[in-house]
Amino acid sequence: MFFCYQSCFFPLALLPLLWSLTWSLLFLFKLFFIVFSRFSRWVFSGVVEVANLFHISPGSVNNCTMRFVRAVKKLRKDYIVCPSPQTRQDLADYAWQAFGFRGCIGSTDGSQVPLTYAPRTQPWTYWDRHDRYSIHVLLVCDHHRNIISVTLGFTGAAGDALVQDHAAWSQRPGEHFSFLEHLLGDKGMHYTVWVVGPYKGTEGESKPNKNFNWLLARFRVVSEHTFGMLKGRWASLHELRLPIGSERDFLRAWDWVMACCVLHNVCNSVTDGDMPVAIYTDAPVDPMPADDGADESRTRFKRNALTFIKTMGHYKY
Amino acid sequence: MQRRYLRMRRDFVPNSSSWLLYVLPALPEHYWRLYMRMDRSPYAHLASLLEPHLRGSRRRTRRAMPVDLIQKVGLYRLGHYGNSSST
Repeated sequence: MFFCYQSCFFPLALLPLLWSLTWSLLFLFKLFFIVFSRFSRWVFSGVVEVANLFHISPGSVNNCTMRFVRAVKKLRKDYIVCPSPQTRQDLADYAWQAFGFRGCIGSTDGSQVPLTYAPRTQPWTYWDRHDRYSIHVLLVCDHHRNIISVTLGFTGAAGDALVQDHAAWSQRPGEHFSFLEHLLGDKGMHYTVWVVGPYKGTEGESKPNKNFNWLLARFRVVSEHTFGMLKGRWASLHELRLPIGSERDFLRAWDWVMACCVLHNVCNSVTDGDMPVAIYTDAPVDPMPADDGADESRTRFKRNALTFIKTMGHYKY
Repeated sequence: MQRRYLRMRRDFVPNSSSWLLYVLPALPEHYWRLYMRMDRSPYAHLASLLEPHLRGSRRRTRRAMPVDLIQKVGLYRLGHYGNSSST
């Protein structure tokens, strides 16, 4: 039985050939895409320039970088640690004697690490308020600009207050704070018993509150210094040239940022000189209602700070 | 004669391995710092910390990568190629 006309017989006979040709073309296209994507990744992420500089292949540059990052990350447990109670006491004494904040052991702030390329999966979750793709970093630093806690794992769309609520020191404060110890935060943080921030809005217009805000800003600026030093020295954090297309890539970027933080503390521990830095301050974000006890906590610290101002004669307003 | 530089290709100047072995260690301190983002003493301290973690097993088919090279490439990449701040 043969139902086709003679005119359409020849195209039907060519179908197997066309089928195999299509598969071959698809295979070639896929091979070209793999090669091109790997090559373009090397070129656009600056790997080729590094390879040229060090006279090694681009693949070796990637291998070396990731081995180095993984090795530095292993130093985290030695260099990014919560201070011991004795160290916290020393930090609190310094804060009391120099700035009038009794029990302050450091300051906290959040920032974004921008991404050069849009993430391939769910890119809108990385879009931050500065109109760019980024991942979020929340740091806690002591008065000597050492990083004592890093909270990673959030995209740039997350605010400081949200990340703060998921930080280890916020979820298990008993392990990180003794009685009356606290951190200084900015207006974007969630005010709790352990985070004291400035007065916002009309509340901050009275003279005592303005004085308190001024003193708090003077002392809290170390967290901005820390970000400036971190991003000034490890310039890849100004714009991370890592493609993010999967969870593995995200963890890789996470390790990269963590390695920079560890290296910052390593350099601080051997008193390496500071790099010229540029400080980027955050714009104010929507306020969140404060926790129970936050007002009481801040009033107590304000009383101490104002007493200090009165004693030392440091009036600003 | 004065246009001879215009006729030269400027796009690609390959480095040799001697740069890493001889030129970089002999650079003055501030140039060294531009490449490695830290002084020589913190670099040595970091090398002593990372040495046990970076010492990999030697493969049968190829030579193991020197620890010093891995550290230099890693520091260079972490400290450069951000957004126009790689000075």
